[in-house]
Amino acid sequence: MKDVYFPDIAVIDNIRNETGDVKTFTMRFKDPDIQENLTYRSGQFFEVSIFGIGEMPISITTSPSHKGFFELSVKNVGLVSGVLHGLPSGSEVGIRGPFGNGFPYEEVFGKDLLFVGGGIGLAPLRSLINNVLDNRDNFGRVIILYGSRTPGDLVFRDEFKAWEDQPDVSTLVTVDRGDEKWVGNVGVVTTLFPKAGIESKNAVAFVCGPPVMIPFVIKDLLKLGFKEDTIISTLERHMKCGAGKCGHCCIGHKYVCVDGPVFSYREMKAMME
Amino acid sequence: MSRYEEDLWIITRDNLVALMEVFIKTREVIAPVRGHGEEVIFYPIESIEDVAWDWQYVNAVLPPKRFFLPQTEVMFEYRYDNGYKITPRYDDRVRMIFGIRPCDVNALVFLDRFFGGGSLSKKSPDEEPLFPDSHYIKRRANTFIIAFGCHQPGENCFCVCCDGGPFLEEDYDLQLTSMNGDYAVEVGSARGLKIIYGNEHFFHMASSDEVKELERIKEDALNKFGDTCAYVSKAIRRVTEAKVDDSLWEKLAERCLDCGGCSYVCPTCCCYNIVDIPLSEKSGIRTRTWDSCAFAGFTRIAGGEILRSDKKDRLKRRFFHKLSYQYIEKNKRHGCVGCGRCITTCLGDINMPSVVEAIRKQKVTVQAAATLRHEEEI
Amino acid sequence: MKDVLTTCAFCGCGCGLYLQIEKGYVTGVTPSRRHPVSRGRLCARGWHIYEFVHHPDRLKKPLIREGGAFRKTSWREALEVAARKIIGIKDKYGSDSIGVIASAKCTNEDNFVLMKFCRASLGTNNIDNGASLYDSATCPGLMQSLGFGASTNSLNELEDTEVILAAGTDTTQTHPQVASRITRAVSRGTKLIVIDPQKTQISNFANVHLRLKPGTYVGLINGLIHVILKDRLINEEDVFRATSNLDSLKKMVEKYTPDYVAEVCDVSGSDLKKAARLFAGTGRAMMVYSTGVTGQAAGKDNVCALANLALLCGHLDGPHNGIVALQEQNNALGAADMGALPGFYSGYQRVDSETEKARFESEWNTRLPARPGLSILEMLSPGRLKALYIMGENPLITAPDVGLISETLKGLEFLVVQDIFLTETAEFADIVLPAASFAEEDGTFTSIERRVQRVRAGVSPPGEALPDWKIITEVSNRIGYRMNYDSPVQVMEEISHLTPIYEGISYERLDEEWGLQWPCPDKEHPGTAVLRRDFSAGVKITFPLIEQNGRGKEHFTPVEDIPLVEPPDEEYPFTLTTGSLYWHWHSGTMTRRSATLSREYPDVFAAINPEDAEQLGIRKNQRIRIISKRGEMETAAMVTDRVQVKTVFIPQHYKNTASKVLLNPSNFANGKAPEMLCAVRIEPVMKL
Repeated sequence: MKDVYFPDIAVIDNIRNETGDVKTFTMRFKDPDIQENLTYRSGQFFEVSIFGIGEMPISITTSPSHKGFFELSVKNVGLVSGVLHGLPSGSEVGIRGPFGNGFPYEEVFGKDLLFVGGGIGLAPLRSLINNVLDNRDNFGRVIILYGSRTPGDLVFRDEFKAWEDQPDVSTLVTVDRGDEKWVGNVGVVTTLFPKAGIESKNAVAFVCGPPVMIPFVIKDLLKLGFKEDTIISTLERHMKCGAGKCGHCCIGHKYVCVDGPVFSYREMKAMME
Repeated sequence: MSRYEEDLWIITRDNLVALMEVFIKTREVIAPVRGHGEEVIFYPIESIEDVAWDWQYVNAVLPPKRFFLPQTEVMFEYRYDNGYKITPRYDDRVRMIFGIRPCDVNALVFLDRFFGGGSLSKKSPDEEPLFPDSHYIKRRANTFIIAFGCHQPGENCFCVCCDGGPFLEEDYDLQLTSMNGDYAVEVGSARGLKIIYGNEHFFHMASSDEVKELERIKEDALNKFGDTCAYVSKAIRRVTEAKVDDSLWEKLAERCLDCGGCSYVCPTCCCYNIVDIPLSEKSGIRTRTWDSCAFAGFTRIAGGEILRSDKKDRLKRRFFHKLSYQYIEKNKRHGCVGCGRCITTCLGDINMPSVVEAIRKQKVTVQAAATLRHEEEI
Repeated sequence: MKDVLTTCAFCGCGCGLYLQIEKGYVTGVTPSRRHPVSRGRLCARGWHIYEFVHHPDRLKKPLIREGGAFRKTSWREALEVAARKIIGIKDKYGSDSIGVIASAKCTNEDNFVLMKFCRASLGTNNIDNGASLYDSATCPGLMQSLGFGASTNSLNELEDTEVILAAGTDTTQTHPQVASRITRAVSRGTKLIVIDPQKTQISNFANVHLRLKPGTYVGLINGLIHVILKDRLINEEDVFRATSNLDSLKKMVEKYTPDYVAEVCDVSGSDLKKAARLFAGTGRAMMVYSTGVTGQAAGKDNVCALANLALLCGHLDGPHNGIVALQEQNNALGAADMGALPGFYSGYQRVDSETEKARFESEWNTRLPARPGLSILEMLSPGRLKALYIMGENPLITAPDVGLISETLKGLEFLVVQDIFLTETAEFADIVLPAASFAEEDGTFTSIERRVQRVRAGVSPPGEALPDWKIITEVSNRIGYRMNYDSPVQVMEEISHLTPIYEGISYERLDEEWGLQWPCPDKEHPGTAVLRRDFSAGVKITFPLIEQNGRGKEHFTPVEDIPLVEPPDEEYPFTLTTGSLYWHWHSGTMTRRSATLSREYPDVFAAINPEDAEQLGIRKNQRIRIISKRGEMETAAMVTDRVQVKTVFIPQHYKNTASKVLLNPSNFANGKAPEMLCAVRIEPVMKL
């Protein structure tokens, strides 16, 4: 029996600064067999160990279609992420997982897809976006809307170009507060909705971002005609074990680490508390 | 009656002592022993002399949960030497719990379902949980259960209202009931039967009179427990349907001192935290420690925000988890076995019977009714 | 695997708990069910007290300063250097150039041996304990009024009294077992009077909450006395017969009319009268108070005022009728009992009494100094001493004015600190000696209800750490004064031999019982649950002040209200108060290293009232700056109506916090209790 609490060792191969407080780590499992056999869904997460400090859940930001490595984008918000940010390339960390349910994928074949991301919330969406675009024919129109606090907080800026270049993909970016160089849209992410030409009829919306953003986005999506089942989002909890045991991520009768973190708006509403 | 084996056996007190002497040599035997003063605690014994034989003991403050899920438990060691090496640590002691009460056995069955490996229990579903917990499972599988049926309720006992006792119908290896100075022995599992057959000279088959006597003793005991709080089902309904007004939790919150004791002494509570302890610059251990939904920090998320910062929400959470139908469905029973330990341990005198009673008495108010309507609309 | 019964070390209540030991590690705790204090219950601190024990930061080897840094060294070197330096300083500057700070956290045995070391080995009375920094008022305050400086009654009596008066105590945070008893009492019908500027969890249940302005206790209590006398709520003649000095009390409280109290304390006359009627109108009432009352320059006056009130209403009379002083540290009372005080040997025997000194001299076979020594604040004042020996205290966090204390510590020629962690104070030391924690040591603690209880070692100390008493004997032997104890049992034998109130106490008896409450004057004596002046009828124990004043009666000590040392003004309009959080304890050395406890409040904060927050444009969690005349600090704002308008509360357990901006340093000079209140102004770091 595989011990769910037993981490495997992964090596950091590359570190990319996304913003002042976000880094993307490219890693691979030290044991090539484990790396080779790694399968996961977009929206799933790893528990990342810095031995002697602790663990934190981090969603996988690489598409499952990319093999041989995986990437984790981490915002420096606490003890574990702080130490992780200080590690040089070549360092080893512990990895458990993947955990969680992940985004629906096969289930949305043939649909138009709307992605709404805020801040570091783009990290799990990026995995799904790339998986969608790697299998472009299976999906309809793709719209990617992304917002952050300031231009300096935008992550994966280089990739928007590549996404745009794909057929029938549009991207729009906004910031809450611009700077002198910023010429794009200013305002919260929902201000992009009228400009994006969204058709809700055959669409599914994926929403990831800071907890304050999500209710506003959902409200506007409902207005646009999205159904409670076609709005998919994630819940943020401190998932300690990943296995539905430790109790930290419980909400209502759901364990976010096992039953989530991806839920439809309908499911979220039904959860008590 | 759904014993593993229908035959009832009898063992004399002297023979039981002799049998225990054999067990002590081959495994760690955990039994109720005298602590300081007249206190009874569960404790590995070195000699049969240590056992508090004449116990009129109410359950020890801590349930035997601590022998399966200790307050602190090492999960693995790590060491850095040109790369990390991780060595898991498992507890594979062969153990026997002697004198465990039926409520605590029922709680173990609850934990078996939750952590997995509930093969000892016939009630357990066949499906394993998604991520079986090997640390718990190893300990549980290596532990032989000799339960003691309860003749006499302790001052805080209410197992009869919670399907927790005073006798077990299944899920034990052996169940002993004191009977005219001897012990009636019921067999609940194959390995229980093996003990009988392996030590046949200590046991004799019960006569039909003795079988009837045991039935009488059980009936008597049940009457002594009375129907002290038969309202759990009503509380379950109200909690499930969100019909409990928040003012009740607010009132209880005024008395709650955030000690977490309710979770720690509860035989079915099993939330834990994961903590790394470095032992040197290059080595250390990962531990898990008991945790409680009573603590605000329990729901602290990255960045510092606390999701259940309000004490009333934490209390509500606790009783939702214990009583709601959503959880009953998941766990195949509600989360209280009626052991009464929360009554002993709560600094604010908030406990299962008092909360159930408060829920029962509370009038459904405008606000709760509104919540209910809202739920229905969805 | 084994369970070892011991006594909790995280507050003065003295709960009984078992340490669960597995392979040389403490892996958990079990509350004792039969123990009269814990009764199967523990607070969050108690449940997690074991978490710091095996923390990797524990000191495992002696440290010696070399240049700017510490070097690990052997016991031999550390002890020899310590002894040589101490002898050198003693020879050069005299014994009184050395001071000793004992610990209200260490055992009685540790404190007794340190007290003996100070007086017999160093030859000075410069010894005081850490609790004197903010709990010092209880001892002299109650002593002056009652003749002894400790709680009169026991905790369990709170549940069966008719009225409880809780003054200056956030009991749920500091003494959860007391809070638990108060809540239970209230649900059984007991009336509750709360005197506190803050809203507290127990004030929710109060029949009257007198939410006075910070630091105006004397005015308010005198006001209560005024109302009680004026409205004839008690039988004055009875009181007159049973006490002394009633007349001068009467005269003094004349001016404390409800109008005066409304003006000074901001408490309404009707609330004052209601409280007076409740408290005087019952046969059984108990008082509890804590650092809100004592942590003030006028702390002793506050305690005297409370004692006057209790005495006047006849509430110092037998069971369910008395005062319980809620000292925060686990062995605050024990440290004082053991003579870790500048003017007393163990059992409050005076150093300036010829007979008592002579007895100790003959037992200890040496000459002892007669003049009382310096108080802790005097010792911590710059330039007073050449050397300090600190056991288990961290004044850099707990004492006010960190700047001044660092100056003192830096100015010392030699500083020895023995502790379990490298504390902020220890970082200034020349020699750091690794000590055993409560889980690794045998001994006794004395709780707030005078209960002397066993502490039992469950595991071995980490590395080379040793019990404090053992370390002290090693130093003393090298200085040239022999101390030969094989175990704490022998120390306790000496304590009971030399200390009348402990005379009947032995480990044997303590092991049989749940401790013994002093006075316990002989081997047959069952201990004293309810302490009265005349408890000792027929027994040879006397309390010094009663003896000295030749009074046979309890004595009123009229006290006038004095303004705050530093009242708020236009420039500094807020009153800063400090206190304790439930999740932390004392300087936080241990609780900040407990994963579960430190998770609740990992960082310091400042609590302000929503009204002030709105006025200043401060939002929840916003960074704010708090500025006093002496310094400033930055922290996150907590907005809560628990604190009064125009006050700000900062918990005391963190590095570089309230102490940085606190206290008028003039208090150091006169050796009074420091005032844990001062005037500040508040501003947001960044305007939003």
